[in-house]
Amino acid sequence: MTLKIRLFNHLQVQSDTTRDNATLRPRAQRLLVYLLLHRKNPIPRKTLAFTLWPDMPEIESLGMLRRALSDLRAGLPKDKEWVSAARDKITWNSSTSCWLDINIFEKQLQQADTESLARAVELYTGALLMDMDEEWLSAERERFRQMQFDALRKLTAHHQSVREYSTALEFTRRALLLEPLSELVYQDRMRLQFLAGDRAAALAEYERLQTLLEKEIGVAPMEETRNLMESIARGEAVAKLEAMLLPSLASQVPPKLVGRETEVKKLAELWGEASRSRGNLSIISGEAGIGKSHLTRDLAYYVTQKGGLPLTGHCYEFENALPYQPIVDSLRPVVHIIQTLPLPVIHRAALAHLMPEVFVSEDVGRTLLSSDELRVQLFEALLKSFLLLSQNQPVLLILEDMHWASESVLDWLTFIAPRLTGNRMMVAITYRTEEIDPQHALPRLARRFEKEELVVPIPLQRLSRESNRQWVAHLSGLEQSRANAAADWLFAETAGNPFFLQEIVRGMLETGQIRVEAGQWSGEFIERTKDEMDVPLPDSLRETILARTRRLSELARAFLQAAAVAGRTFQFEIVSRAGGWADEQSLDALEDLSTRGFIREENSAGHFVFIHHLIREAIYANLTTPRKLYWHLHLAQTIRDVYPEEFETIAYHFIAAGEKQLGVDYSQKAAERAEALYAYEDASRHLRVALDLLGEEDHSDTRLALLESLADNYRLVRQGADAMSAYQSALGIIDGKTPRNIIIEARLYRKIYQTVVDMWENASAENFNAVLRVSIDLRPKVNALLTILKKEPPHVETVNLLRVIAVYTINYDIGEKEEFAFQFARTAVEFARRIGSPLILSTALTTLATVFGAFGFIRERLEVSQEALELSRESNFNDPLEQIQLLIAVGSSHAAVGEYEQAMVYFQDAERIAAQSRAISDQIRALSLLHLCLFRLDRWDEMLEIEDVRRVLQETSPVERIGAPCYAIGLSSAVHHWRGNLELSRKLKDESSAIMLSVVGSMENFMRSHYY
Amino acid sequence: METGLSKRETSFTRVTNTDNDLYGMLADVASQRRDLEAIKKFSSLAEDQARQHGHVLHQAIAHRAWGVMHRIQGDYAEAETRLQQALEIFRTLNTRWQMGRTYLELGELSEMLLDSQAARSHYGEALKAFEDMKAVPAVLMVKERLKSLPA
Repeated sequence: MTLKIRLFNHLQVQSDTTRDNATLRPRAQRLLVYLLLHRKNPIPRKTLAFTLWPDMPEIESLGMLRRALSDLRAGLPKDKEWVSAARDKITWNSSTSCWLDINIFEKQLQQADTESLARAVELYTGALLMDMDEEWLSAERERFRQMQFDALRKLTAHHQSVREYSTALEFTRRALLLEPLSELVYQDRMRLQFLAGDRAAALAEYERLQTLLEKEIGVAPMEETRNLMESIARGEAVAKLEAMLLPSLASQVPPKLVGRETEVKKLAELWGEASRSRGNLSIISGEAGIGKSHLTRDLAYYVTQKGGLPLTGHCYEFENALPYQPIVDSLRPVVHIIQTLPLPVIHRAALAHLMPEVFVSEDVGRTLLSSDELRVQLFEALLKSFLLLSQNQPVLLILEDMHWASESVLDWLTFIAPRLTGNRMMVAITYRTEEIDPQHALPRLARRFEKEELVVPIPLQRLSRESNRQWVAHLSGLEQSRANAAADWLFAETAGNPFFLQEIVRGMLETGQIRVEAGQWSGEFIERTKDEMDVPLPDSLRETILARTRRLSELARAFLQAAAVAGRTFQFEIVSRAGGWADEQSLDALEDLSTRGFIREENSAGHFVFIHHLIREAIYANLTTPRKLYWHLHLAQTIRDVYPEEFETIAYHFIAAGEKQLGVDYSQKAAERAEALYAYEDASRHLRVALDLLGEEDHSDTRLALLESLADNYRLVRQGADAMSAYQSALGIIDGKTPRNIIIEARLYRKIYQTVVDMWENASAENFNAVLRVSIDLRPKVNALLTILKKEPPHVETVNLLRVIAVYTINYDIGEKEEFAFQFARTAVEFARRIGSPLILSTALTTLATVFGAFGFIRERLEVSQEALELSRESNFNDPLEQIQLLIAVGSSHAAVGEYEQAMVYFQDAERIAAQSRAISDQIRALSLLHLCLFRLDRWDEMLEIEDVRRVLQETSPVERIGAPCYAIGLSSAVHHWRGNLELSRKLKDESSAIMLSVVGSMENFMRSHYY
Repeated sequence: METGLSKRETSFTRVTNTDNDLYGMLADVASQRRDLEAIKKFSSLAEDQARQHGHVLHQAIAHRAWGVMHRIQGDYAEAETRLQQALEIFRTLNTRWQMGRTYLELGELSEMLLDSQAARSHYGEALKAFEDMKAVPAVLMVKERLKSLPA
């Protein structure tokens, strides 16, 4: 039996067979209503009793609740259990067949399409339970009233957009019943009456509002309403209103996207998946003006209607943005919520780097994280912010114009792509296909994750002739057959590019070639195309836009030019000050530009944005070079005065203004900031820009420092070959200098050979061999330098170079490698002893131990490692990282001769110090080595406990780690296999292989070390 | 692993500690596969290294691998000696999984010698060790072997 319950207007309870109103006592009615309003959750009895009978003592109210429950069960049909009552909680049983008006109302509103909205508003037959006077009802009553009001306004907007003015007016009438003093609704009515061709009625609406406001609250209509009335009164508003209609509608009910049905459906499906914890990433691509942003704007609107949280960030071409800028921008509107989320302290500290004005830098204690780990920690902090938000409501992150994204943003995207699965988060990014080549990071990202279905490419094509016809019919308000001639004409001009079409129409509205009468297009354009006569139209999109700017006032045009130089998003104050205009003049220009659809306000902080990139690009491209230089210089100076910390933007404008030295200075500052945010590739970009400005003929210390920093950055992101090349260029600068600085030379050579050594584990054989060849060619120069250095007083750089060359020799040199390796290592020890620092000596001894181990002198290795470790116990040895390495070296020496129990003592010590110092990679390594010892000793249970600890740490710092941690996973796989847990064993085996392959590439690229 | 050993970026005349571990593992895998050629090759290398560095675990693994080889070749006395030597070391190290696997080999040897009583005793010890290690498949396998022994 189905039960039908209405809560709008007044309570009605009917069953489908009798159609009789169930007779319920008032106390049962109260209980029923409360349970229905909270039908998704069980309600504690105490809560119910207190809420429904607040004036009674607790025992009495609980008694009343029991009686109400009994009455309710007696009053409802007996064939089902409508209410589930446990000892402490009571629930409305949602699985029973019950038709409930508020339930249907909410579901229809969530659908958000016009038909569903129309069905929803018909269900609202009056305020919620208007005859029940309960305090706990009022908030819900207001919520439903507001939902009905919003739905009516959306329907108004929809019918306005399809020129069904009388239907739209009917919805405004109903909206006024809910909010009789709503000026927004009166504005809708004025527009609608006017567009319907009844100017007198439009003005009468204003008068009615004026009288009402005066009588009820003693105020006049808002300025915005009055401006609208005046515009209508002057009769000049037709084109303006039409032009205003498109963007204003887009912010209410977006008009249906013509020719994009497949893409819209696909995105809706992806959102559905994300809402069900199957997060995903979609890549929307297409040429400029094809409608990518329109699609994402509609998606954001759809997501809002579905209860999701859309967040948007933009990448810009001209502003050299801060690292991670669009991601941070997308979080700004919800930053007050993020502050309340349970983010771990380390993540809050990481966010403080990006948003220092929001997050206070917290003391997380001393950390000894590697650059990779710090970077991943920041990536994690950003991702976690979104994921915590998504626990309340699913999140849509839109990143627009990713073809201009900095490397830091692309890296973050690559990091999160495989981590979206299992989360309620959808990421949609857009990029212009013509701006990037197939080797760009975005197509590579798509190719990399497409197979695993983690990324969904959504390419947008130009509109077909048929879609173009539908759109023009929609815009023009003409019947399809009448609109076709105009549509085909436009199609021939715009080749199906929607933005080009829109700009041409805007231009013709401005010139009067198109007029709008009673909601329909008329005028010269329509007449001539109907008669198949030629229509003079601009022959390119750029020309269309420029033609529109020529109709602007001189001031507005100058302001627009300055804004175009400032970037797609610009701050009013900056442009105004750069131009030296009085505020009032600038404001006039700004409003004119806004009204004419060139720009729109982005936020309340005085930021404005060009309606489309192409508008800004067309205006910028049309400026003469002296004019560009002029504006860039003035903008750079203004920004430097107002926002001196905006290094990236200041650098960009100084460079564009031809101010070389200032460009170098600010690029260097921007690089330093990027490095501090672990955005090494962004830093490299700034450094390359600075180096280009200086030119290759420059041999200054500045260029030397820039090259060394650039090479260091390349090393950090494992671009060994690029690092080698930059170090060599740096060496080239000091080559001819006198006096010769052999210490800097030693440092640069040391870094070159360290790069080769580092790449042994972390590079594919192909990449490795490339750097190896370079390093072999450089050996004679290094030998010559070492000969000189050995005659000089001992220096730490000499020791370091000898150490690195010794390790390098072990692995890569040919011929008498053993002899040379020992010679270098022993000389390093000898020099280190002369320097007298226990730290330097211990590192030299560790190198000697490594050489012993490499040539099979394992007992000797153990002895030398122990000697190095002893040094670390001296009071002036203050380097926990080095101490950890020494402990691991001694432990490994014991393990190498099968002394696993002894080895574990050292590994445990190393793990403890690493934990105290928050050196996560070292802690994981020490745990992995303990894991290995326990495996060898058949202590499997202890080993698996260690595995659990290691996994927790790995999650806090999810850098892919090969070597011992990867090997440990393989050993766990073996143990699970022997214990019969085949599924888990296979999973771990795959995990271990995947880590190796992700770092090395393919099995063909494995080196000997990788097999181990 | 063998492919790894053939990679040429190193050209040491001596073996490294990494190779030392690899030889031990390869000898063990060879004995499990009953691959006589591989046992000969890797057990020799593993044993040499183990003796040089006093690596008793690898020594025991090499003993067991030789034991398996001798048993397959019909040299039961040498097989028994090697397996007992392996067992002695594993007992000292208290490595229960290795002990279980060595008892299993001894059980097989006893079966070949038609000594059901000794086989039962060895399998019984293997069973205890595998149960200690919660190695379920090995426990089931040994129980089957015990069942199949003549009363």
